[in-house]
Amino acid sequence: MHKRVTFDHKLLPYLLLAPQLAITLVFFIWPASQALWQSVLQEDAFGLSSRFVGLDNFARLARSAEYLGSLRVTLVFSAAVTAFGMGIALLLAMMADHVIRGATGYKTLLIWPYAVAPAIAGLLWFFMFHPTIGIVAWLLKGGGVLWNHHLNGTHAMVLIVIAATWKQVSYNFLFFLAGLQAIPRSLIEAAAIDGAGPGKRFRTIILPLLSPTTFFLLVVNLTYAFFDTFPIVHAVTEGGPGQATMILVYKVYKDGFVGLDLGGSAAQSVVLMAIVILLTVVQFRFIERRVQYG
Amino acid sequence: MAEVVVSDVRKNFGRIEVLKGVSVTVADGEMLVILGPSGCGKSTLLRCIAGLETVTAGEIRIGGRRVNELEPMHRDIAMVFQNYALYPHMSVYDNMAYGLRNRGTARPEIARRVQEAARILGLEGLLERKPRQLSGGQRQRVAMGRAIVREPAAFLFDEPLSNLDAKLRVQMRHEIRLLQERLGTTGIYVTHDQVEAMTLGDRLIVLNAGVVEQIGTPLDVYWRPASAFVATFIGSPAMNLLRSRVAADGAAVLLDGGRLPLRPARPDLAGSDVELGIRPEHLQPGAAEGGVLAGRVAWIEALGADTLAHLELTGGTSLCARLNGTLAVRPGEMLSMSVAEENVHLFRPGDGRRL
Repeated sequence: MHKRVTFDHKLLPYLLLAPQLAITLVFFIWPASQALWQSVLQEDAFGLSSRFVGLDNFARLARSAEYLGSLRVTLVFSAAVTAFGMGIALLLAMMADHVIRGATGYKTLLIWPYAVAPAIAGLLWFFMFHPTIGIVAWLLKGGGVLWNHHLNGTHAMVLIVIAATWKQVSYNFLFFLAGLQAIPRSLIEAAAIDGAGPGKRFRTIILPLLSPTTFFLLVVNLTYAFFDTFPIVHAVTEGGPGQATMILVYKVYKDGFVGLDLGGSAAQSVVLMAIVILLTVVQFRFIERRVQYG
Repeated sequence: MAEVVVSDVRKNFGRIEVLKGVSVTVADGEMLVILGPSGCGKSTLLRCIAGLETVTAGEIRIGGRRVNELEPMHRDIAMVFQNYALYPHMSVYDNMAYGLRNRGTARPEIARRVQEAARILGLEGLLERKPRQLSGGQRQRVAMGRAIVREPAAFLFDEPLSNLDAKLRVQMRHEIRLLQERLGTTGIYVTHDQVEAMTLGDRLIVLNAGVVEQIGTPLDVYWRPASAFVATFIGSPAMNLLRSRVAADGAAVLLDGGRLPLRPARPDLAGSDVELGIRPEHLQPGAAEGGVLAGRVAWIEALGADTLAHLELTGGTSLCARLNGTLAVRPGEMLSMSVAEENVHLFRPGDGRRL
């Protein structure tokens, strides 16, 4: 059923849409087309002259070991954040699903990290792991690990994965919990009577019934790890040490705004744009074919 | 195939006592119906037998084996749920095969049993469908199929027909009964519907607030209700309960509207207060020999086959009588009713036990 609204005045609908259109135009269409245009230009560092170079910027990216390294770092980072974020969230949701007393209290606490700004979250973990003043670093030292994410690339990667995961677990938790609570209890009981132990019930009943949620979260988490983790990297490692945590989004910023290679940076943006579009298409496709229960 | 013995089972949820010592034995191959109003603990009792709830005290034995400490899967029972509880992501075939696969039954044996169940239940053409592509009655059959392929010691039914429409309910009721008789498997069936209880059960257990009110055959429960609660719960419209007193000689019950003789006389109750129970269908118009109750017709409900006449006795108590639909009765009319003495029930005021 569609609710059809008719306007007498021809201009009114456009006027009503204008604010949103203006925002989209100014903050999305304009910069995106600028990036597209920039990506085929080469500009001198002072911004005094530019020339058309075709797809040279892209070709340079494809040849650049640094860029491919950054791509690899991003894949490792995204995979880790998505896997840990979803795994921990599912575990917490399974446990929260069983809690009866004080359930709201637990849920509220588990949701809090999501309300923390990414940069603050990054800073929080930055301080906890700080090699000289951080409590976790101090504890690790007690355990024989000399923690220093300023020098050790693996340490730096682990740190941003922890910070990014911590923030995303809340979001995943909410969706997993809702998904779990949508599964009728009697299904689990029927499976228990049908001879399936807890592990088997999880694999053969719960997980398949959660698959719409899981798939949705997979896309959302990948998108998050690819694009929304900029503030965390910026606050914690600034892409270092070396290139160890130089994820694609951060490299766009580093190359463009710090390195002033505007053409190269724009080409990277265009690549990222393509990835966003791809993920969005996948997500929309999925939402259209949402699995229905019972 | 097995006997199910429930001995003094108690179940508390926190401080709330849901089952207050229930004992019943279900004979091998028998269909026992647990009947009671909502909140009486009937589903809890079934879930305790299934192992979905642990009992607080007492013992449950299935086929001679104590099952209190066993997981549901080790109790050798199958359960049919109110909402069917079919696995939505599996086909009808997989739904039925799931329990067998979990037990490591050989593949050809699974196929044979599922085909057999599908044939019995008329599901042959539907084995590849998903539950959401089935009608309510078909889903119900799949749920039954899932139970019978396992060939368990006992079937447990938790109000399996309450989600079906009236017509389908009558049909499925009949099918469940035929199936259970044919397989000869012990059955325990929970319902709040007295018609289901009367037609399905070899015996009934009537529960009220976690206490067993009566255990007996359906007709036993109808003709000789053990308490005022059972008397009013079974039968529709409900049995009339009238406050009254037994005459000093114990030979009759005195009422505002008349005097009902007691045969045999109850000298043991002489002069004591009682609750007098008479079913609406046992009241006959006209003054037969013996006792009569006279009253004014307050209002009538004409149902076609029957007419329910609500009488107001002289003392102000009301009484419902089920009369033949062809009888012309009008509100305002005076009517005298008689009742056969074997249809007079006496209950003790207070605890409501039969006297």
